[in-house]
Amino acid sequence: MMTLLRMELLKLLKRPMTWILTALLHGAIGFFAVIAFLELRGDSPDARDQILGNGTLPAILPVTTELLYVLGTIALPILAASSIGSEYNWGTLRPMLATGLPRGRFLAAKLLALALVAVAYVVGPLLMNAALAVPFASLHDRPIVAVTVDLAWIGDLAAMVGRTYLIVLVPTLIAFLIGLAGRSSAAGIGAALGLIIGQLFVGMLLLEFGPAWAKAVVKFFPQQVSMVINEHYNGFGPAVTPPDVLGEGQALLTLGVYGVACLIVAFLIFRRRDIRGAA
Amino acid sequence: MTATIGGARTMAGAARHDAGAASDLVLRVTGLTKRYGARTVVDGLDLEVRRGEVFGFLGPNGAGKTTAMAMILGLVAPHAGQIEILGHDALADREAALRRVGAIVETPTYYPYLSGLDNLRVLALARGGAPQGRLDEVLRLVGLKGRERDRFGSYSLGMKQRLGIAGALLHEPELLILDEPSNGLDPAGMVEIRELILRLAHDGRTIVLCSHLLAEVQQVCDRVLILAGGRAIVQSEVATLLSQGAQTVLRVDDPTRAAGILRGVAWIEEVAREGDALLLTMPPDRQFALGQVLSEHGLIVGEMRREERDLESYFLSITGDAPAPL
Repeated sequence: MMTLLRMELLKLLKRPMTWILTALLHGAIGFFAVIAFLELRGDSPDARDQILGNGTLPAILPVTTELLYVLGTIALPILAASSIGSEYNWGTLRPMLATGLPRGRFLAAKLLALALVAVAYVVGPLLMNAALAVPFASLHDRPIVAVTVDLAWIGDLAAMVGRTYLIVLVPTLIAFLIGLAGRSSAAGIGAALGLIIGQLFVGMLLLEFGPAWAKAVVKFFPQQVSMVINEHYNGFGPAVTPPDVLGEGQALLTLGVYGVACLIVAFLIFRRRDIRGAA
Repeated sequence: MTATIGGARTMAGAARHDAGAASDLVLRVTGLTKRYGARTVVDGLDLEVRRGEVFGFLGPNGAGKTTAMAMILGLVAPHAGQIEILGHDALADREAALRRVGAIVETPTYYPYLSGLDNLRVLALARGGAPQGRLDEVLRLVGLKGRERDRFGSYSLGMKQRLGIAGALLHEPELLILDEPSNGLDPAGMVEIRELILRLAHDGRTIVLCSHLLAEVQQVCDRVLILAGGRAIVQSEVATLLSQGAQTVLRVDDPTRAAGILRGVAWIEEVAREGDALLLTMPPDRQFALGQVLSEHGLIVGEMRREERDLESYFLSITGDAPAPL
């Protein structure tokens, strides 16, 4: 399995798209941080305080996870859909699988490589913004880290990274599944992005005009669940569950179920399907 | 129609058969069937490939060749039939069956953004890895050394074919399945690939060659299978096929009288007239007897020669009104 993982990482890391998306993701998230610094000039003292607070450690970390919730759930699904869809588009599955390579292991290695890239896509922006916060704090005579770093703080940080990872991973698996089922990068990317926008629109319509049961269903839309996790549970200190909102455990479990379901369907499709020529 | 180009194949084939025990089977396919909806693409295909032979796999477009190969390589699931590769049941244990098989199916398709070398690395890792020395060796063998760091997407079709062959040879397979390996190559490249195939076969590798270049198949292959409409219509030694269609060309001073006489000879199956020549279908060892018959009737012989069919004319004759060969 390790050699297959190396193979998939070689394919991913030498692919220009991986680096273009990495640059776009980091660039966009870094850009928002820089914009926040620039906003400091003309704002009221209260607004300045809030911006300074959000722009320094530790508050910059949950702010970054919010940006990842928006941008990471676009960048990584694009990469995932391309990772499997391109194999169909280029016809590369034929020479790969004609080696006798078991299909299940091939798919597992591909998903594992994507999961590792997802770690980089989550940890990278957090590290980048943490690093940007240091000169920002120094320039405005703020402490580098405005809290005492203890075990509880580190635990909160680790949990935040884990939750954000899950938030990014689930749409990635959905995009992967659609790319696989549609045998195409374009299908995977289009459907995955359409699904994000579609959930927002359908969710808004149902919440506004739908019956009670539909409103209950909306709560379990992956996008909605991710938003709840990000807004209510990603941060430092104890989390409070507002009324009529999924609890943290429920929300994480729901996302987990979506992820596992995508994996099972992907393996079932790929195990049985005929591999024909390039699209 | 000449017999001259069969010579190279016959000599190479004889050498190979001397080198290896020809009896053990490397590939055995029984009753292989594939349907797409109501259309049966491969219909009860049976074939056997023996160790050390070069086996030609021919058929018109749409005959089911690529589907059959894809089933053998585990890319397409058959509806019925059995596939045994090097003693392994390929349907039950694909990984073990394909461990010693190298293949190119249709035009080699690799990752366009990776270099040729990286594409070989990917293929090597898919099989558990290979030392750098082996990668260099196969690159040299197919003439791509020096271009291995260029992107695959920038390769010409011929270079892609060469890289495909390099990939198929990477793990020193016992059985090579080559689908159109000369596709896109210039004449010199075709000769090189043909010589490479013969060299590999001489080294004891078994090769299944799918090619639309029937002259190439005739020169390289020991046996052929011809597929039409998903069914195997012929599976035979190339030499046997060529001799089946052989004719004796005869020029005499009075062809009309000669034709009348020869039609009455029991061992002459058919007498046809083509211009001033007679084309006789008869056993090859009766040439002296023929001379004697003609002499007894006072006919003067101007020319008498044996003319074998080439594979192309044989192929066209049995595949009927197929749109185009392969």
